[in-house]
Amino acid sequence: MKSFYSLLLGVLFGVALSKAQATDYSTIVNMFLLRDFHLYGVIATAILTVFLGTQSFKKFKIKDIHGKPIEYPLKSIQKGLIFGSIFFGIGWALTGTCPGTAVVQLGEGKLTALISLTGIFIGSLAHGLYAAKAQLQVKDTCG
Amino acid sequence: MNLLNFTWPFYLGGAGIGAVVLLTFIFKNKPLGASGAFDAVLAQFVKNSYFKHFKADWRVLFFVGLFLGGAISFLAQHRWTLTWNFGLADLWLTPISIHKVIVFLIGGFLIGFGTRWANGCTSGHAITGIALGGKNSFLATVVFFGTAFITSWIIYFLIGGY
Repeated sequence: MKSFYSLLLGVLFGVALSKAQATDYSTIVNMFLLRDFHLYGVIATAILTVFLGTQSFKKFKIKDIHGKPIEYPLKSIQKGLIFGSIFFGIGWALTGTCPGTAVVQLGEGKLTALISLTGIFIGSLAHGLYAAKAQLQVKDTCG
Repeated sequence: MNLLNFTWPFYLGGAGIGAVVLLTFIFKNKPLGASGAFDAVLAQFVKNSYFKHFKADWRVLFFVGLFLGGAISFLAQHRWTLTWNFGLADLWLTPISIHKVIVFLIGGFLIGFGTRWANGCTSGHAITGIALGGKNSFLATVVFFGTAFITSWIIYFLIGGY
């Protein structure tokens, strides 16, 4: 079942990102150039939705699918938070792509994503090798 | 299927993304995070003290789902097509050229290394992290948005507009 939920959530997230136009290079660049505010609306609505939803979950003590209390971990401060974000920001502006949207773009038939994904995998691999060597702690993993 | 066959206004797109984050809390009891899915895939092939944390990470299937989601979305709108076209990028990199390959490989590398070093991207930090009131996520978001802003404007002036 665990595997099914992961697959399902991936499909739903992929559809949502695609429909929200988060996979469109022009829309992303226009967002950064302040020529199009659509994605600001998307992100603001998403944050509001998650905020209202998690606040309700907490108020009504909603449990997860296995009956366990849900945890809402915050990301801890870590070495790469600032520099990693700078790298990501540059890459995002260059390619109009995020890690998640790159995969969705491939599903949409955008061959450019093949190039982005190759770069993202090499970058992630380089980070993983560096992290092991530098013995960085792996805290908070997501789902 | 009708829901997939038209252009979504921003509030529907945002609500949809937010809803999937909430469902991830219900089904996985974890915050949704896309960048880690790459570590999950790599962990199937690379063994070291870092990747071992991602070996049993179900996001390998989340990764597959993202691909399928993109396909379903475009097929439902009858706009699925294989293409090198990439919107405004075509103006300065052409649909396919050695310049485009170089720029997107470097860009991709910066995304892959950067998001894992920062432990999150737009889904993990900007949306989930901020909604939960996380100061570190807010900081990360300000930094990557700010950097993206500056980079976009630099490109804009270097190439004479796009």
